[in-house]
Amino acid sequence: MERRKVDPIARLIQALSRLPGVGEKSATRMAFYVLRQGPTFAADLAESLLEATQRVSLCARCQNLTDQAECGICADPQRDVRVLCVVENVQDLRAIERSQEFKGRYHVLHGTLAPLEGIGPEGIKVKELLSRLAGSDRSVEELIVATNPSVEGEATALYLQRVLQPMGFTVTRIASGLPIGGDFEYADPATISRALSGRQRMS
Amino acid sequence: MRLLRASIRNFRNLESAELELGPRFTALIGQNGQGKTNTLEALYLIAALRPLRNVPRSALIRHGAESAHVALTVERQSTGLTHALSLELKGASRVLQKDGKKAETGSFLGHAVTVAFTPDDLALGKGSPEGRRRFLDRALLNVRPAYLVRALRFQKAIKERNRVLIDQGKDEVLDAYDQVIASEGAGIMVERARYIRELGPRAASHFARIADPAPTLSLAYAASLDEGLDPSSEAQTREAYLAKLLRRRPLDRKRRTTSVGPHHDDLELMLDGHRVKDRASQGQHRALALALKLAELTDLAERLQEPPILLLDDMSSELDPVRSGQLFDCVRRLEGQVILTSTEPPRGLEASGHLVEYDVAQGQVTRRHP
Ligand SMILES: Nc1ncnc2c1ncn2[C@@H]1O[C@H](COP(=O)(O)OP(=O)(O)O)[C@@H](O)[C@H]1O
Ligand SMILES: [Mg+2]
Ligand SMILES: [Zn+2]
Repeated sequence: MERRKVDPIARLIQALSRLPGVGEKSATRMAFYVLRQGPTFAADLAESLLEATQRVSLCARCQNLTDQAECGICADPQRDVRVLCVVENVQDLRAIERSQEFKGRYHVLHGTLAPLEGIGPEGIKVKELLSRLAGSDRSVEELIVATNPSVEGEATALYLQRVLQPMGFTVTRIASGLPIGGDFEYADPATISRALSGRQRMS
Repeated sequence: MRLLRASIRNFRNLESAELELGPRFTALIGQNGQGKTNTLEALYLIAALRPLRNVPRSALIRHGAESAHVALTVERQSTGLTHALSLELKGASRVLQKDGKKAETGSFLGHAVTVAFTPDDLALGKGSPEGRRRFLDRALLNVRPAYLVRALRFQKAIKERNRVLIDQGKDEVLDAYDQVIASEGAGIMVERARYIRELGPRAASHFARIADPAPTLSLAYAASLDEGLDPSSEAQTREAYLAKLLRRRPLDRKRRTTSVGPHHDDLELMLDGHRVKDRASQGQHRALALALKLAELTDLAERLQEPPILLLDDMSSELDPVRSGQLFDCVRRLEGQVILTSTEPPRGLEASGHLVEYDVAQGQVTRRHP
């Protein structure tokens, strides 16, 4: 019996609809767009996907995504090594970078505490934060916690404060101004700038 | 506040319903099980963003349909502005739009301030503390939309803390959650206590008028925080709550649940200083529920400086003619918009003019022409 082949168009649509925010309708539109553009376009797209996933890994220092051992921000000698901004994810780091308001370095947690999903401090990059503070980044004095104002983001900020303050660090929390229930990565630069300059000491 | 038009798609047994609501009274008339309460439920959901009956969101989508949709056009008398609100339920998710733009809970609420009075409310005094907390929370979300945002954050934080307790998580994680819970919880307790203080005299005077004979009704907030609750200071209350959470932690760890906070509190109802539960008659219980609802309604009308929208489910059959008359007297005086359900065409409302009637049968809602 002849083995039935998977329809390549259906496979492409299914693959695309696995991307976040892409439903079947947009996936279909993308698939036909790619088909119209032809093989050169497709090869370039496929290659960039592969290259990114193969070459990009986490910065050894701050957990940002990078194709080097350390990311560009950590490698930049102009950055203030006394201040760390702690963010939930790389999108948030990028949003803050876009505002050009922050001159220190970052630490990316890759998540928040989320007990209902079984995620505790071990499930995010807290251990990495503590070890860099005790090792290669002993110059850090202040940590600005820029997690989202969601319940989980708030709890994560308070947890970090609880752990870091007794160790002698100044821990500040970015001021609100970020809409509660709103997401950091979509906030405009003006809002981010206001939030950074209005940060408050956590106690 | 006035609802002008409502459009309902695939909600419960309503496949597609269009309503033009009367400026004063709109009656939904039909036999039992036809979709009258479902219609009110759709209106309440989009107005208050809370379910009228306690069911999961997915139960609201019509069997066999993928998503439910409710749209509302509302006019605000105080500003003269009209707003278009829409709500879509799909699976467990909910999407809100205000005037064609995506909106969050906090900015969506408050455009169609609505009070619902259903047969379940008649058990307010007799029932569980949960029912009375629900009454308070529903009333407060109308007073201040930010209250609902806090209440939802509090609920979530409690769920997460309880999970940390179950998973025997670290003390530092509990310390963090205690702070979130103390901040949101103190706000909730303080707002409830203040609200009860204002509602008390109002409810007492309605009760004195309605009940016969009428012992003196008084309300109090029974808080699990006891003396720690200081209605004049949220900051003090927060500190007291935080301290109590810490004191109770060993117990909470053992029981794997958070034992103190607004989620355990109660609205205490007393007649001549005795708890209503132990002493009120059936008739007094009804009078009490009516008095509380009228107090909520008149208080809200004063705060908003315009009458809120009132949804009445089956009240003409649940209340005797005297009580029902007292309810409608008060409602007429407020001059707000009322949408009610009934198995019989309501009598006595035509006189006040503007009675719009709809027949509800097997999920079809059709305008009745005089
Ligand atoms: N998700 C749903 N899909 C379809 N029908 C539903 C759904 N939920 C409830 N119903 C139906 O709605 C009817 C009850 O409507 P309801 O509005 O409560 O009646 P009433 O007119 O007495 O107030 C029942 O026949 C019930 O089966
Ligand atoms: Mg009904
Ligand atoms: Zn880096």
